[in-house]
Amino acid sequence: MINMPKILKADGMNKCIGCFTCMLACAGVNHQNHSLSKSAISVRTSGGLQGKFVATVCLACRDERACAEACPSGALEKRPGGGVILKPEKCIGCKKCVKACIVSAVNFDEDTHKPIICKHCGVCTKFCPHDCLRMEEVPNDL
Amino acid sequence: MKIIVEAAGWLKRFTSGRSELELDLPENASAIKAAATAGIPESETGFLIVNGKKVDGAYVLKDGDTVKVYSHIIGG
Amino acid sequence: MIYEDYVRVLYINLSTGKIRIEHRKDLHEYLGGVGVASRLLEETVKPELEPLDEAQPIVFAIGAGSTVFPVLTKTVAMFRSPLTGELGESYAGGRMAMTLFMAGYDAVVIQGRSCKPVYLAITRNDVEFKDARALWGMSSDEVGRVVREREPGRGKRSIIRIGPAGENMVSFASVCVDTYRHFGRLGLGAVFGSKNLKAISIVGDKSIPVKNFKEYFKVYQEIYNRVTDTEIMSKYHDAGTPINIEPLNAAGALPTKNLRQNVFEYGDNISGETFAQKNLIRKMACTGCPVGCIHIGQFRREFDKGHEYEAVSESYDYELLFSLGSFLGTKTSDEVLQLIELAEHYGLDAMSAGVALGWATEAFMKKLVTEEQTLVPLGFGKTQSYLKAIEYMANKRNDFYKALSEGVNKASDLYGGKEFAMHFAGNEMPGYHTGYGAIIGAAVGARHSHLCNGGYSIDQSMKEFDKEKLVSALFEEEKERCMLNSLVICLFARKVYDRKTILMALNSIGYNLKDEDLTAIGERIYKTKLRIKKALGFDQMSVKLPKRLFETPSMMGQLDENVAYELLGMYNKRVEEMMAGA
Repeated sequence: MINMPKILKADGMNKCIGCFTCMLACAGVNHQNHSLSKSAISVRTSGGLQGKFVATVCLACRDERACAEACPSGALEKRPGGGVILKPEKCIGCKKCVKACIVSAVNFDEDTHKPIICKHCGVCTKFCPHDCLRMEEVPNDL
Repeated sequence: MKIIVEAAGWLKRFTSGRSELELDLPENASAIKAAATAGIPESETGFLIVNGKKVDGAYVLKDGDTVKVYSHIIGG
Repeated sequence: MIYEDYVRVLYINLSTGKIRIEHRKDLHEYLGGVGVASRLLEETVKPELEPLDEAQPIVFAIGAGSTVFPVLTKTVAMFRSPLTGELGESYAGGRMAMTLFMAGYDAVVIQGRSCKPVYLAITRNDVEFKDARALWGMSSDEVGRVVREREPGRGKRSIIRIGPAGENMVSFASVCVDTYRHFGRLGLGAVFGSKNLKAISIVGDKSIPVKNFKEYFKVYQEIYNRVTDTEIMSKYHDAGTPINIEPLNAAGALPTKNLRQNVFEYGDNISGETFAQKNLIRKMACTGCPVGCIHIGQFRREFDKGHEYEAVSESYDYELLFSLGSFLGTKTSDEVLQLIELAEHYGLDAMSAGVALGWATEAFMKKLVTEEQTLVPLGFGKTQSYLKAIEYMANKRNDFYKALSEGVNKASDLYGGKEFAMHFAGNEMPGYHTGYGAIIGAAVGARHSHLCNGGYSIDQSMKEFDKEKLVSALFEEEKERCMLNSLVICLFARKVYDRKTILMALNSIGYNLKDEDLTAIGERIYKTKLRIKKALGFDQMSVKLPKRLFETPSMMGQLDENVAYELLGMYNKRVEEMMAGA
């Protein structure tokens, strides 16, 4: 039985209470850092706290991955199921991937000078108290 | 004897969502016993109101009494 | 500073436009939060000067575990209260603790006065003093929007601000934190106003590497699971604190119509269930808390003929349903939300505003003041009059409203009606008429709040009234909360954060503390607060309790004034013993 790859789906944001635990968990687990600025998932209001909360997440693009196309040094490799995997040793920190992402889901770590790429690891989904986030199985496209 | 237990608000999670239960209890059952029989843990029982008046857990009920159970005051 | 042995303090001087940073190793033993803030206040407050003198400080502090563990979400503000003249201590959630933490500051001390209206923009690399002249006069909502649009840092930002009431230095003006939370009590808003400080924006995006990730994250997960899986906190999310209205009303503990009654005949109309059915539209959380206890209620208002409607959303909690609801005889949930909205618009503490209007209503009924002074006919349940009165208080419209804006203690000094001016040592009463615990608790509490020592909760759990036990319970809880408020915990999570859990959490981030240390810290902080209160002229034994407390029966029945003063004496003796043993 082959494990199908999974991708992150943030389609329950109508229930979001804005606790930011998903971001704290991502930064903690993936970057061993307490700071929200290391998180791959970004939750913010759609303009002030009277508006809804929205999540900016990597959509796990298949076929054409704009970020990988923009990378001049081949540091972003295609990930099975969608999205990309960062090879930090090849990254020169030019930020072209940040600009290229159509939904602005690539954050940049100003301290390590590398992009923060969502691994679709699912940690954020485990730390959402309101079922706003989930992992979905997808066929391997590679 | 027949006792009606009303579970207020959040306490309905202990009574399968029902706000009112009709119970058949032995004579001289206490208010706290009625709440417990309805499924509400003693630790979550804050106030017991019988026939409109606040009572202690040990209050002895009469046939036909209604016991309304509320959780503790929550404040912050 | 997390993982360091010092507290990083940012000093801001509004007179000179200069800042300085100090690494205070001596404050490390105060853990953080109210511990650090008390010491900083003790150092900087000027007992010989008025509360609103420009030399007086505003101190903010976050705690030892702020943001890195669930529900350690609050920031404490300490100052000299213009309402009571003595210790000002207030807590707020929202995003402030997280942004201060990520901007790299444990505490902020603001002194001096800006010659022109200003707002501060604090980031990890800078502190800017920005022109706020055009913002002066704006509601907290409007200024929030402007600052939000002007400053960078979306998603990692906290904006705290005052409304017109703070600008006018109303003694119980509040500071709004991130739209739905507040430093409500004791008049921090007025202190801001006196310094020409309209708002503060804090952006935090510093890198803070985790030390000892494995151990830390294990503890984080355990606490997170306890907070989310168990029943302990779900009631705060469910219908929230408004759920208290029904049981308190049924038990005869709901202060109604200036405490003329302890039961409200329209209680069901303004109960938590009613709000949840009719008005609740969403729930939100402070950042770092997975519970989400902020309840937002909406009502539809017709602002003009021809079906011109707008939707108004406000955050509501139990204390507001009491102060602007039962205390004023307000009959519907929509009207309560309307009153909340206006208090919010002007930047008034909703609790003190409601209690002040309650006194004013009774003073009007008893003809101690006339309509010439009140400008509108005040009456319990007359929401339209109260809406006008809130505006007049915020603007100090005439001599009467100017007096009222200084709190019921001072207003009743001038106009009479002290027996029904419902305050404890100058701070308007909270929403619990449960018995001696609530009364003594608020009278002796360092900041005269029901939260200092949970007196109302002790009333509920004490099987048989015992004076010695009550005094002991209040005293011990007061010290314990000093320690909890140095973390800075949101008190809703006090059952999750028992001693064992606190030690586990602190140890995993480098605080090698034992249980005895926590006890010592609590006492150390309490002594500091008491020293400050004494220096600011507070005398526990000169506190007079309004007679109304003993006229209207409480949940425990009729209370005896002599017993209350006896209990105050007993508590004071415990305090003196502790201070002597210093």
